[in-house]
Amino acid sequence: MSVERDRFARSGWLVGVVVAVPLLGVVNAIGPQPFAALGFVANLTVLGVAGGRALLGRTGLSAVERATMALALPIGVLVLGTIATAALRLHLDRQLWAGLVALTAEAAAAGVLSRRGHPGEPRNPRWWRTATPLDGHGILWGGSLAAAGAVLCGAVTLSVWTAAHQAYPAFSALSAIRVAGAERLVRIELTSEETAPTRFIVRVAVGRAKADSITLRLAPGVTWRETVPAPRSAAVTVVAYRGTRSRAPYRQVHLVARGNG
Amino acid sequence: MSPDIVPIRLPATAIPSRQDRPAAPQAVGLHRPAGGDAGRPAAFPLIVLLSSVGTLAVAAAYAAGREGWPYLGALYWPGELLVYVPIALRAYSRRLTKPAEGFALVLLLFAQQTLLFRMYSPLELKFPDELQHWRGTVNVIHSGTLNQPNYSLPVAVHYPGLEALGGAVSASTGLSVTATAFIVAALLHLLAACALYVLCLRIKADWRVATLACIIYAAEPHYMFFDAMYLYQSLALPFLLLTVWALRLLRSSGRATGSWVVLLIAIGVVTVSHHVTAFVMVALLGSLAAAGLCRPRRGRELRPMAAWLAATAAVLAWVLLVARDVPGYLAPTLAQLRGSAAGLLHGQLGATAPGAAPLVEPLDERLATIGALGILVFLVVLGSLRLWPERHAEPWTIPLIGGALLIFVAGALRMVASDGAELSGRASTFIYIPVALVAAIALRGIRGSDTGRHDRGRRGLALLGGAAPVVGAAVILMGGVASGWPPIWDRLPGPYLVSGFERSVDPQGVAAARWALGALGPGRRWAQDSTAYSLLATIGDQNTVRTVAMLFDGQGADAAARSLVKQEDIQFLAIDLRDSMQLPASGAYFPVDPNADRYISPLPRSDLEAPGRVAGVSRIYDSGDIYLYDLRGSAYER
Repeated sequence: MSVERDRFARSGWLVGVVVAVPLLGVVNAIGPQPFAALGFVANLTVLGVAGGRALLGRTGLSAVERATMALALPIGVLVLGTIATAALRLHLDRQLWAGLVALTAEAAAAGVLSRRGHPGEPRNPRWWRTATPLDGHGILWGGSLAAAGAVLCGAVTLSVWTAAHQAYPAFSALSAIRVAGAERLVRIELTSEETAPTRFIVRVAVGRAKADSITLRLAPGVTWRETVPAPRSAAVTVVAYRGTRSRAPYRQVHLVARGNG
Repeated sequence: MSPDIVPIRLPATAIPSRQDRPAAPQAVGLHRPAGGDAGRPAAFPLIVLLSSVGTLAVAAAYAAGREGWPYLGALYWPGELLVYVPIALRAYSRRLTKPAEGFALVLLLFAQQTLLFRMYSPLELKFPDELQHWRGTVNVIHSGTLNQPNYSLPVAVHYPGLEALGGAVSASTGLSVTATAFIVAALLHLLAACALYVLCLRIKADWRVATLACIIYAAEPHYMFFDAMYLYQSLALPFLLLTVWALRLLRSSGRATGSWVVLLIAIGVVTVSHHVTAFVMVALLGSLAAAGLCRPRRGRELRPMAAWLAATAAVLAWVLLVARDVPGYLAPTLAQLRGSAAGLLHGQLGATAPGAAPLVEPLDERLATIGALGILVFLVVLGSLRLWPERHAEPWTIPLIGGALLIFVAGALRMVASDGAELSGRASTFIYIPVALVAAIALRGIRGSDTGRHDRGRRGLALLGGAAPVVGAAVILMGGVASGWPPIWDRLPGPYLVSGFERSVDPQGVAAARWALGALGPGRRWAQDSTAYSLLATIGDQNTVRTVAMLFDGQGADAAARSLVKQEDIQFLAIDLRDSMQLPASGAYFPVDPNADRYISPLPRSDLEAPGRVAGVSRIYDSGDIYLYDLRGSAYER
């Protein structure tokens, strides 16, 4: 690759990278998404490319080896850096990871800057040079690749659509549990995962008292919650019926009486 | 060729032409004819199109599984073959003349196989092993530490490499942990493919061999699914390859410091990421160190010894100081191996051993498995014979041949061990690395030696020679898929199956696990069947107990059940009435099931309902099929 095409060989470009890395780190640490994500990815890229260059140089490495290093180094730094900072009992969060990546990326870029002008760098012939397809083959290439892309899009769409619409048996879940910390209360939940809006009757019986009935209509995916007073010494039985005329319990839960509470 | 790559000297017939050499300055465009050895320029995009059609066929088979469409499920095998065989044939073809196209084939196969894997469940993580690490990553993000207990895989807390990586990516990008897992797993799989390619290139200095090795490795039983998952081994595997690559790089002149830094980073990542891979790394570096030392004084290599010492020190320190539970975690597997060896001494082979899973694969899949093993064994023997004369010139020859010959161990393990298919599959992830390289060397030799045969007018032989690679590639791929994951009953997604791993992950089970976490908080002690064991521990963050089968025997709170509940401090019980409707797909209803593979009828419903009749037991959740019981204060605790 010629000096002109190798951006890391130009000091102006490198200085720009060295200046940009901390700014990207700040965006990554406190910026809104998706700018934070872009800052993270940009600094990881600098870390991978510049880190590989600083450690191994360009000469003697193939393009695939350089690309492999550019992918492996950020992963290695994230893994080992995170474990090292966790060992120092630092709290792992976005700011810490942003700082870790920015710091190592800056060190890598500075490392490349300091190595500029070493013998043998940066001139290194590329292994593979892309070229435009020969006359007459461009259409075949473009057509085949476009068709392949369309086929793959179709495959992914088919998979996503059928997975999203896979038919599982409809169900509804009824639960009752004594509220922790205030065990004179019972929290009841009914979640509908039926295929259509469904009417339920929920009967709640506390001890020997007459059961209360609640009628409700739940859309699919909606949860109804109710908290009822119930001493620990009283058993609680909750029965849900589906529809308004059903006499057969659809769901049933019960809490046994405990002690004298 | 890079000046620092030290090739193993090839036999005269296999010496690559000048145009074959990867770094030749005169290398020309991806598809521009170069002299008389040029390939068909349009072959690559047509192969892309063909393999994409294969991916679409598999997607249609998956859709058929989900929707219950008849016949379309039969597209699975044609689709798999259409993805793999054209790429493999092109990699083997003499018409392949450009290293760029060779590597593009590797990337194409990676992309298509990654799609095949993810399209199985494109919207959510369903594989239990992935869910375990999903839980670990969620814990890292929520707690800001790496030491939160992961009840679904306790040993993973001491190998937090993947969770550290996933947590960093998820927190920094704002992506959900599921999306992060998809992306990170794909990147790690890509890194593994690249690392294998560059390692083979460094060892053999022949891009054709590197390309073929990657294509062969892609037919390894666990490559397409298990090794592509969001698992701690998926992180450790590429860095294992990079460890050896960096060691090889040290032979180059200059940049020794940088190579050592890369080597130590790779050793570090493997050490903190996965136990078995770390032990494999120590063994591998040990064999290379031994090979370097067993040479005349003048040619001795001390760098592998230094790398081995560094790796051994790192792994030992980690196991002794941090991951002290590893021996206990691996003990059952080692005991199983010992038991199998003892069984062998008593004449019990594989499926005939007590407790062994019966052979349920159809005959054609068994034949494909045996055929793939046979072809690879043949290629390994042939490749080893080709390499053998180079053993004095190249110190890594003996370890390479030795590693490749481990394919006999993998085959024997499959036959001998009572759970041999599982163990053999797991081992093949590592064994197939040298196997693929040596087999690729053999194929390269075969390809080179049959030059000109077509010109002699032997049409029959030529036809046979043309069909053999197609059949060989198809058998290797079919054998790999048939002996890998998922098993035949799980190969297509579909409706709920009892104890069917990912096929058991359905909205009802997930809802129950989510409710348990929301209503009860994390870390409660549970008894449950296999499916709930996975879902409660991962999605529900509950502390599940494995040895619980006796609570499902219909005896209620008898002495044994009471003893177990008290001993294991079990607080809650999950019952799934669907266990009374189907036999377990995997052969076992429970995580530790004394009757595994011996069920002839489903569990009686009355047995499953028995706990609900025990005095003092509260039923706190009812979703129709799933009941959750609170055992605290009940007769079970008295």
